Amino acid sequence: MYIQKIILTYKSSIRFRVGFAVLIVSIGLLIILLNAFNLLDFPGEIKSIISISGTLVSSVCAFPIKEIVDRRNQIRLINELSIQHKNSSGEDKKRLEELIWKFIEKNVVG
Amino acid sequence: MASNNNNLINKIEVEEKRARKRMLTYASVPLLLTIILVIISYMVINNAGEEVKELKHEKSELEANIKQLNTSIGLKSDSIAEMKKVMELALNYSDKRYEFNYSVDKELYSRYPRQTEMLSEIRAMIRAGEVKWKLGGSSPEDGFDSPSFASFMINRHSAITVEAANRYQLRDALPKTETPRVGDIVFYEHGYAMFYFEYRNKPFVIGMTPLGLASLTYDFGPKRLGFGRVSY
Repeated sequence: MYIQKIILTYKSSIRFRVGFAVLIVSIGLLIILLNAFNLLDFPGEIKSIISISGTLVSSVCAFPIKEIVDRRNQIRLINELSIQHKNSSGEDKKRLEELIWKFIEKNVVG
Repeated sequence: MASNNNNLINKIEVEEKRARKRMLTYASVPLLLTIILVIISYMVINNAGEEVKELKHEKSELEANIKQLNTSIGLKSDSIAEMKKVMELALNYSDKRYEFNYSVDKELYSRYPRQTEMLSEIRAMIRAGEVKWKLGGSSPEDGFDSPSFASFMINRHSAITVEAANRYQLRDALPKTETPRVGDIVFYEHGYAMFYFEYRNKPFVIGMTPLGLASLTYDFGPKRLGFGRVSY
């Protein structure tokens, strides 16, 4: 139950980051397209700078994507350990439970 | 154990919130830098655009000035070339002077009284040396060029009047003739307009030249273009 709560928290974080990444990429693309179709009222000399700016804005999506990847890996590992915990018994089960919490404490909380 | 787990979940939630804030902060740095870059570039390019506009305006003004100056230089060169020609001719006709004295007046007066009065006046002017050559001049004090002097003398001694505005169209203003009579105008190249006289069947001309008033032989140098009849 606790594990599921933790995974839900991570999934919520991933959703937020995906939303943020999509928003950033969309803004960057919008700038590039508006500039390409001359819908922005800028002098001709600045057009290439505006295009580069659009690309820079889009590239900011690298920050949330990196964190999304990290969290997905953590969810995968926690799930793996949980499955093994379910399938084990006795002393092994207790050790696995300790291992899961230690992993969470070390890798997630820091 | 359960309270430990709850604490851990709370910690995870707090850590996730911090991570979101961190991510937004890190992402905002390049976004802000991009916005600043665009604003600075816009301002710099806008200023450069204004400068280019001003320079283009200056360029077109300078081009117009150059055009005007070129035209002016062209006109001046033409004028200088013309003056050079006139001066060369004037220097060359120094040996083409026609010397005459009062006896000419006496002989001519009975047949051409008005023309002879004019001739006497011109001779007096030559002797006094007060009337000078001046391009565009129109009075004895100011000086004359050749057509202006001819018009001035025609207005003083003849039965016709030449308007000041027509003095450079004298050739068109006067009736043309093939055989000149005493007192008529002989038109030469380079704008010379000289009075025609004859003494013992020998023609000579008198009028204003760049060297001043002079009486010259009929063929003193420049090509003759025609004659204008003057009624006295």
